[in-house]
Amino acid sequence: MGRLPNLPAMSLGALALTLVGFASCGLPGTGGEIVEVEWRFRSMVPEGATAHVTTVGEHPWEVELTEAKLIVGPVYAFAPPVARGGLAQFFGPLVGPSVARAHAGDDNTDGVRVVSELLDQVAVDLLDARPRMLQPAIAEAGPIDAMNILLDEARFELADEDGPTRGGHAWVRGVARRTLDGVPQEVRFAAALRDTIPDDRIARRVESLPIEGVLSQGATIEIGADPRPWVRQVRFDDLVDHPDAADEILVQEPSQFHNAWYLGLRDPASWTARVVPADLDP
Amino acid sequence: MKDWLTHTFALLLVAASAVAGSAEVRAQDEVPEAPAEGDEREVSPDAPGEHPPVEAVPPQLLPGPAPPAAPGARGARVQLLLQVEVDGHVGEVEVRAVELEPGPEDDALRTTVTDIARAYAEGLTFEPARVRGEAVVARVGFEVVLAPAAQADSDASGGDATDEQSGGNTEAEGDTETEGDTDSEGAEGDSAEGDTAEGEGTDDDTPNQRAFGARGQADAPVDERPAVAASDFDVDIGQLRQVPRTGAQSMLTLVPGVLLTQHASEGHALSMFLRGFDAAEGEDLEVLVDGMPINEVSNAHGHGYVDTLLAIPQVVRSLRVVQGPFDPSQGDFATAGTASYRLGVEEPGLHLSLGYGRFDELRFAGWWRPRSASPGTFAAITYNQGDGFGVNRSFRNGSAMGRYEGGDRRLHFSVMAFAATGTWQTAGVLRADDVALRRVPGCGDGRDAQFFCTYDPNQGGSTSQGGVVSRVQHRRPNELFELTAFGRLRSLRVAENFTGFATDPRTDGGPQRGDNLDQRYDATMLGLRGRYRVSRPWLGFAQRFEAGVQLRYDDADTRADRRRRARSVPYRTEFDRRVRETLVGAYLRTDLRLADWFSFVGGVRLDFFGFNVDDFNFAEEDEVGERLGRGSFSASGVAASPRGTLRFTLLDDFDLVVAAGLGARSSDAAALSEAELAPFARVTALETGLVYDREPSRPGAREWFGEARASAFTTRVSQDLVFDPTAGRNSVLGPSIRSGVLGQGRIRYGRYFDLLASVTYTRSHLQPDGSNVLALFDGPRLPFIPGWVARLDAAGNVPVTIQRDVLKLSAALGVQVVGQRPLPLGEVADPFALVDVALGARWRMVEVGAALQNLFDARYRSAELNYVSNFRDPELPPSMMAARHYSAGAPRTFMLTLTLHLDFAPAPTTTPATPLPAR
Repeated sequence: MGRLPNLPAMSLGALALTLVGFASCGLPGTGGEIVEVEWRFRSMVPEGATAHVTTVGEHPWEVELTEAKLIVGPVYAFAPPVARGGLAQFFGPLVGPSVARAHAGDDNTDGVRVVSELLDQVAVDLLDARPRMLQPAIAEAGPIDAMNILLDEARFELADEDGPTRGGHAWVRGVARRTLDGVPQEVRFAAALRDTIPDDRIARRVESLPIEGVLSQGATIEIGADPRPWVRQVRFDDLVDHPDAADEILVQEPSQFHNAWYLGLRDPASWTARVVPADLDP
Repeated sequence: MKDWLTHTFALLLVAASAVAGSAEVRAQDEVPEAPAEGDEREVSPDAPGEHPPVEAVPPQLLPGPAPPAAPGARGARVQLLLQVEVDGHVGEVEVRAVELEPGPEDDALRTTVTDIARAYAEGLTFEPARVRGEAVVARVGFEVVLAPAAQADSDASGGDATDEQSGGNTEAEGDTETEGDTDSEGAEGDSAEGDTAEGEGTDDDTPNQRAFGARGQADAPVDERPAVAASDFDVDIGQLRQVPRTGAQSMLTLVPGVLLTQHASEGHALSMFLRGFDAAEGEDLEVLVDGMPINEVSNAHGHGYVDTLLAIPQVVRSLRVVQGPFDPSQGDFATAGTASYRLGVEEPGLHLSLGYGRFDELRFAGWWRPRSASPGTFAAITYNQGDGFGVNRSFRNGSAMGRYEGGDRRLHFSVMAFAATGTWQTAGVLRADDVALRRVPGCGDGRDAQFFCTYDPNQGGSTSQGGVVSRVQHRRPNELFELTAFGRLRSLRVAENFTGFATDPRTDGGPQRGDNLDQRYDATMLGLRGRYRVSRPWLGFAQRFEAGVQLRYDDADTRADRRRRARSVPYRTEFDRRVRETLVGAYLRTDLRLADWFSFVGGVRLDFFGFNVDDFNFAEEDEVGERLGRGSFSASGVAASPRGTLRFTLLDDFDLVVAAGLGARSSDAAALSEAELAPFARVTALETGLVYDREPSRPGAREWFGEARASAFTTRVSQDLVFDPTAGRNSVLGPSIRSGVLGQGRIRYGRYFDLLASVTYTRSHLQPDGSNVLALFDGPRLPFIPGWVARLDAAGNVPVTIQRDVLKLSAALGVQVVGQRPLPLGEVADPFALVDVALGARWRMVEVGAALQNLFDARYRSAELNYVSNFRDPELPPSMMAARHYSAGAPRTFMLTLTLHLDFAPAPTTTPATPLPAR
């Protein structure tokens, strides 16, 4: 029969070469990388300044907040929805809808990818200008462009009536003053935001809070909140005739105060977020 | 590095092409071999003047026991037609005539002597017929002379009964019997079908062989099908059956590179990884049982789902796996390849096996083959139950099947009926971070308790199926026509929860109700596979041509509901469809042998898919107004798939095989819309490899023989699927490519030792848009698919003679090593190795065995996934980051088994017989 004596060596050589080539390529190459990051909270009220705000309206009030506490968490940080590549291309179908990608529906978390999250709740004092470290977390390395902050109800010990937010989402205390027609007016108030926020996953969100940065090892995701917009649209006129007006008014829900507070709390202007790379973080 | 690898791989393919070119040049220089002396040339009317000489050697009877005696005082002559298989054992036995010694007609005696002669003949061993030195199936006339018992007793002291145990002409005619599958391959022979090659057989003085020296006639079998690739594995299970395995599907690990994982419990199909594919539960591997495809279209749990529960392991005789779409007869789902289970029972008799093992496992099996019947006739039943390891993994299943085959060498038929049912509970997946922090609720804080725990006890499933497969073959010397018709009723229910509390879209403020997904699939499948194969001589070789058609119709209801965690009540429908899919496939295949050293197998396949889908999951109102809550759509598609294989014989038993092919996978109905030209997953596969295959000189001979192969391959899929845990099934991902190399070797020493080992390395990548075929390593790697997979199966038997009885001792070893698996985000899954052992002993009809699986009690993650889930309290805010999940692999288990091998047929006497006086 016919023989092709040189071919076995040739073919075996090619096979061996390929095998060595494969073996020399390490795992995994799937794209993406897991890094450790820090979550940090910082009040937007400058250190040494008072939380002073002027309300809207024809005869505005000058409000000074003496207490402003908030429960933060969960918070989700999203990767940019465009310019995906590598792993994002793979995970797009997994975390989002499998159809109708062009129309993401009425939920801005549809079709997006969370790259870091803060699930535990933390009570923060918005009048304390010192930054507060929240917790370390893992993150998927890469750019982020938006965050969702969920205004969830207080849980566990934070739900106690004696808790920092009196069992609500937030707690505020202050005094509003103005002079109307030469008559000075003053309203001392306190309130807990509890039932005004609908028990709805979308209505509870501060949505699409813009943030620019790249998550890398040791980076810090910093959230800032400002309590002053909370009361900017409150009609303190309604509280002037309150039976407790001579003393401190504990505003009860439902009220215009709480509705305005809820709007102010969800106002993106009440929040900031940024990524501080490890080498720039003091 | 990527370019270097690409070039290397391309070099390999170019080398193969160079081989082809070189071979063609040499073909012109080749001098045809002269006809062997003694060959007679007969002119075929089909090819006048072209008939080549063929070297043919008829079968030779090997020394064996003397024929038994007939009962009573009357002897008999029984003329049989034996089919001598390529390994030398006797296959079919056809009784041609029975002649009793003079006396009154006695039907009972006639039946008895017939059975005795048939049983005796089935135990004979031959040196197989050979054509051009290669074993072929042959049929030989054979006469058994049964002396009367009384005379036999009197002559026992010195009669040389073997002198006359057979006589007359030996007629050997090529005639391969396909066993349960249209892809059966016989040994390769070169003689032109239908052209008779006559040669003088060995005419030595051995009495047993004397009768076979007269004259032989051998034809190459028309249905001989050469291997279509280096990765065309035809695995005779043989002794490797002793290696512990849990089901027919687990036999797939006998071929290289197969990793099987389980994210549920026994009864649920295993997920399969092979050749760089995540084939899930069957989406990329066409699976045939006795010629019937069992991949389920648009199954709610996964397109192509394969349930092999119907195939009772004890009756799986062999397994053929073609990795890659290289054979034109490979149909839908054969993107990574095709696995064909062939059924049969080697040892006649009734076999009853009862096993008990860890976790209260109870396994019973009974299988029976009448002694008078061929291996393809049998009945079998099995029942298994157990608590399973950890929690929520109990199972119970049973299967029954019966098969009958009959007819003669011209018209042969078989009918197989089966039914199987089972239920199981599923522990499901666990988040790796929860286990690490030991916070999985409800299982205790222990390491193992957490490792084997479950989040949702309302997971499990049930399966049932029943059906019939029938086959008719009509043969002529150079033609074969075969029809296989099948029908199958099917019901599957799978309840699983991959995501916990993450997908409930409720906006009324209530807590997440739960993501438990209740999937139902009820289907009826009817189908037909037919082929016509013809052989004609040309260039001195048999050239074969085949035309085939494959029809399949599926009518399936496929539905998935979400269930509340509380009371498992469904609250939302994910999808609810009735799918009617029709597949019409046709192919042409040619097997051309153009020179001693070169052959070509190739053809083209055409598939037409038609879909009619009713969707019952529409809202009853849209932006216009009220509407019906249902809709219908139709879609269809056509795919043409050329495939071809070049084989170069480099040395004796040593071939270089280059294969290329296109394939297609039908669409899941979930991906279709009205009037759509149904998109196919198009598959482009290339492979080149070296194959060494040495047959034993005779069956059972105490000699080493074996096979070895190595190959490099690449396959591109235009529309790959990936598991979507939110949907609980696979979803469209995009184009992907995988490449790899494999090596496999099998060595055997007679019937005493068998070792099969393989190693495979693959890399799979998601290809960026616009990449060409040779961009093998572009794009990110596909996660979860293992790189290295190595497997070793070994079994040995040692007969020990104790006071003239033989005690057969056996031992078996199975080792699987799975290397690191890439995971998303640059992580890797830990490698693991599993060692299984089995020991057994058989004395007469009693056999005992002990099997240990996962001998070293390794804790390993059978399946690993990475996705978003929330298994915390449904009222707590959910995690939205992808996290590592896994399903636990089984810990060490043992099984003690008692098996009885009962044979109620008349026991052949060992008394030597003397011939009847000549008349």
